[in-house]
Amino acid sequence: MTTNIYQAIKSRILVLDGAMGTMVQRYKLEEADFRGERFKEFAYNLKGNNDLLVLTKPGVILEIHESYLEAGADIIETDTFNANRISLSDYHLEDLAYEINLAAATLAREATARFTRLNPDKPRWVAGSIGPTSKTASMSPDVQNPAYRAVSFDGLYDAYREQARGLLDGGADILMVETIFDTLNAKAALIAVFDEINARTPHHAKPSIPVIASVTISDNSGRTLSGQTLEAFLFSIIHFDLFAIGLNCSLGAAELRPYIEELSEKAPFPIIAYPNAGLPNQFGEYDQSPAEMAGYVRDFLDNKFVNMVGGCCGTTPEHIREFVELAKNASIRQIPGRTHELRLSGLEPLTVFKGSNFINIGERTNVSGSRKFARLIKEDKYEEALSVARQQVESGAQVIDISMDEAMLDAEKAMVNFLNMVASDPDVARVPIMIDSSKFSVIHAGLKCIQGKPIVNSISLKEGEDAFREHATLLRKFGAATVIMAFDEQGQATTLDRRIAIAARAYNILVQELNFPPEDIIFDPNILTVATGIEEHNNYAVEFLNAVRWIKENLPYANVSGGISNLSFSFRGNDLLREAMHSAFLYHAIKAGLDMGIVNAGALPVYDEIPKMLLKLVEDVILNRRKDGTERLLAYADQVTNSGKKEETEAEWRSLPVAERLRFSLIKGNAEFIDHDIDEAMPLYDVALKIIEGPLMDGMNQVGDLFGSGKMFLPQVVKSARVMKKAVARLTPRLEAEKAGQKGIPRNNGKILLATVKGDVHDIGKNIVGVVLACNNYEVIDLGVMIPADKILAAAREHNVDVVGLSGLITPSLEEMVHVAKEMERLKFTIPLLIGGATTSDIHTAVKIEPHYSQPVIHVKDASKAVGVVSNLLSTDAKHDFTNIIKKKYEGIRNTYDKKASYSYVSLAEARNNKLKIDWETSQIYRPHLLGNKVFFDYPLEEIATHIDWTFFFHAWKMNGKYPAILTDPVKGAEATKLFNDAQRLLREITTRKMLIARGVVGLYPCNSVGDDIDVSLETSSSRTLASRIFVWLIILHKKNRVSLIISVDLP
Amino acid sequence: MGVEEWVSMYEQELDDYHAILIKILADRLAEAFAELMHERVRKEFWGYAKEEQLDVFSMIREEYQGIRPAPGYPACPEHSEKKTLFDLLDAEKSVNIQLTENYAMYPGASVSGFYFSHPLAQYFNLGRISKDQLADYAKRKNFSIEETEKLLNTNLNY
Repeated sequence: MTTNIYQAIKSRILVLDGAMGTMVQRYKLEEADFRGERFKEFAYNLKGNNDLLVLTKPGVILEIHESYLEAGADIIETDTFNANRISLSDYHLEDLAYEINLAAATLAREATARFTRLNPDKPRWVAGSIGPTSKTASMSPDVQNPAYRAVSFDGLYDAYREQARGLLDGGADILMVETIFDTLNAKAALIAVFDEINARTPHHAKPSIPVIASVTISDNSGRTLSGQTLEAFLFSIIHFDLFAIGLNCSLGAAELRPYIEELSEKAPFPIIAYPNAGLPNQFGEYDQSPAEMAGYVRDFLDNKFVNMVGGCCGTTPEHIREFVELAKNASIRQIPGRTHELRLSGLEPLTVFKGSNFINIGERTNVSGSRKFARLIKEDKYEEALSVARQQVESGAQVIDISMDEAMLDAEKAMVNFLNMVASDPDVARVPIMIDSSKFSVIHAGLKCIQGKPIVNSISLKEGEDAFREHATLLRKFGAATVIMAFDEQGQATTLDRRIAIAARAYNILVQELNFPPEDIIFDPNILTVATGIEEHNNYAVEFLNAVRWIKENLPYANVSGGISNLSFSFRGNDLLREAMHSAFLYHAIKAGLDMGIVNAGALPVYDEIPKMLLKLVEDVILNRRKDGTERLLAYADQVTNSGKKEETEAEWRSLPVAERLRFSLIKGNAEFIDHDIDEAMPLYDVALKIIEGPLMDGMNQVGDLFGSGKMFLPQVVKSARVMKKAVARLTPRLEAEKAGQKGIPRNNGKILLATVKGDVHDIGKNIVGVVLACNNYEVIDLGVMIPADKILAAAREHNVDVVGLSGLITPSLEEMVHVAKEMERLKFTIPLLIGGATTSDIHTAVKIEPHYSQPVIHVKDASKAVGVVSNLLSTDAKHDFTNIIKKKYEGIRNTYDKKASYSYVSLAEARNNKLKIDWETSQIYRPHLLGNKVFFDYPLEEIATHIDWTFFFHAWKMNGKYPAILTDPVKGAEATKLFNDAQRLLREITTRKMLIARGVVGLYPCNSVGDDIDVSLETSSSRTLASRIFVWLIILHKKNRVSLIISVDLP
Repeated sequence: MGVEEWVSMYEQELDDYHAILIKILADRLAEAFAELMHERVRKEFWGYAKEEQLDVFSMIREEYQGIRPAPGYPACPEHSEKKTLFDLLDAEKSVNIQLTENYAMYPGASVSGFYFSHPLAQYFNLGRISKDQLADYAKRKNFSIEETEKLLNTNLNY
């Protein structure tokens, strides 16, 4: 066996030791033991400071190390988990940090040296344990001040570097940054550790101290304490040259399994897992037995998830002994290679790969791009400034560009403050950040605030190669991707040749000399303003497009970005024209290979929707197709009145009179101020009812109108309904009191009863109809699902409703609806019956239901039709005509339907004869790996969520259009995006809080065609003796039938 | 599983929006689960398409080999076949999904279907069936004509 750990990890499974704390507890040490002679008179309590024992009870620690080595551990960890200046200050021992680490490593080294000497074939190594410290750099301990930090990045760096120095001086073979709960702490640790190692490595030699990073998941949400998903965490530190990456602590092996599996799939490093001994019992102790835990570890090994195993809290030498046995015969996990995709992260990962969609970088959190944002920062209104970032993310920005470069600002301070604010809001921190500054000191300060993997915007050759190298080297340490501007010592590149020359030079320095990952390079070849009236500028856009093409073809894996709004600067003030220019330009730039761009995410028309005339003029300018392009576009611009589609800002609408505000809240579906505004309105109206009938109904009527005319979409209507409900709930106590005093009861347009019929469970469509009707001031009584006819009719009588609406999804429900209609006739009901649901149709209603009930029976296709139908039915004037029209229509349908029946069909025998003949001899039939059933009792929702067909999600909300195109649809895009964001948020909550459970069962069986049917053979179903099962099928009778069902698995 | 309690919680908070949103998401997750299971069946449990490399959009476009028809959809519109399927999979017990008297699955966010792997397998629309075919089908199912007509109501050509 080899003594080189780099060789060892390739040829076998390495075993780490188990818990230190658990073993120390067995010695039942007292305050005096911790103090020893040296700290006898120390002013503060020291019991519990396990790391101090390396100085005061070294014999105990040595014994523990030896017990793990005896058990067969390849690697033991030093007793230094908390031995950093920051954690030690809790005991007032910060100045002992170096000394403790030195002593701990020396002690452990003494033990490993002895064991290696005894058996040189099994070398042992010392891993210096570096814990997370007791403070977090990404979170504020002060709820009042989210930008506050109890510890700085630099403070962490110094503490970690001191610890690393002590450990290495004492002879540690490996450094282990473990139990990572905040990735920013981890970055400080890893940078410090690598700096220390590099400083000790002779020039040009390869550093030879392996570094391990191990993260801890805070609970079953699958996130770190600081909120990152596992993949986002991986991306944050993937740039470090790690010896291994892994997971430890917080969970038992069983609970850790899905995360180990994920990391194993994605990480280009060896994997280490050292879980706790199960979950804590009622006394907070970990008591999973060695044999039980070994069962899980065996599973890790059998699945080749890991290269190293060990134990955390609660594990003992007995546990390790089991693992050592397992490791002997385990097969080796191969390390996946690195791929060249740009991987970014906020709290969540973002991968930019060949074929991925264009990445929108939000531009509004830039003091020079947004006047509003600049004002908020200058006035120190960081909370409000944060809402600008939130709005960017909500309207689809996948990265946010943050810039504080402004003469009147202390950019460094503002950047740090704002980034700390951003970290406090998970809705914003979710996306990666682009730190945008022309001052490198601002960029450096920003990097120290971000736990994810950011983009830096930008560095360039402007100040020469030395400064460029220095900046790039620092970015490489932090793992930031970087924008490279097409600038050099001579200034900005405006021609294609200069762009190419600068890009090639920068690329070579970065990739060849500095080993910078090429995928982390993002070129910005300068989008310059066209149509300025200066002739040389006319070809700027064309040259940019050519530069993009050249970079994509010649500089492997590099990405390209640009600031889009520069292009149209000469049309400032004319947003309509500018947006058309941006959209047309992006269309061509994306085709040329542009990967991302800084845009106003909410304001881009769809290319195909730009009026043809305008598009031609715009493209003439962008593509420099004619000399007079600029004049022609200017002439067009003069004609178009810029509609200036400005949204009312919050401040503006909040200053409106209260009745207006109520109306506004309803239309916007904004429930935030509704209670406040209702309270304010109460004294202004003599009876509460008037608030409902006045401003609230005004608002709802407007919602109804907007929806009816297609200007509002269903999700908005449902939000409005929610506001209405909340408003009414707020008013209810007073309404009740007034009702008692006879001051009036709320009037409504009518009462509707809704129910899904017996035997059927689907009700989303019915819910939506209910909400839409409620929005139009109908009282809706929804009985729910699986409701038998007698209950429906009893409720209709009891509530004295005006209309009954039935819903159903499956075919047998149609029969049930017929039954309800017959019953209504028998019981002499006089109210209309509405029919709705996926399988219902005009035809079925006309042919099968209407003939059984003498009152109006009407099929309502979807929620948008419901209000029209109901209002007609309940209007004394319109009812007669309306029902007559429907009756005539249904009569017509019945007549044509009868004719349809004579449509030509082939005979059953002929159809069977027509069926597709398959040559089973030549067909390849695979024997399944699984035969019989497999049950999944609680399938991970995160994994399922990746397979969602979002097109159908929007469909369910009656917003038709393909995902993801619908998000940028000019009409529905904004609302679709909001809905999508709400859905994503809820989905995250569902998965992290495990609000839902996914259960499933699949079964694979040999089967054969028998005539039209499928005969399933159950011989393989071992435990039971079922006879064979037949699935009965039908064949198409329609002429020209060439298709039939194809079955079969004959097992070899 | 578990949608109903969240719906009633949202309804108590007068939040129809989230009540509907979670129902729709539960439906989508059930469908997504079916898609994911089908993928694992193709690549893993059955393993007839181990080399398949499709992204989710391609899967949604059904670019894979084989089909996944489901009772109640055009190729096999008759819902009672779910009963046979559920017996075979022991689904009521093993995963606690019930069939109502009319073969609707409860909880509502549930999906079931058949996997066929043959490369020539394709979806079709049964369309309308004749009286003699219905009689033949009823006989094979051992159902009365009346019962069968009810189940295939929308597919009758008479």
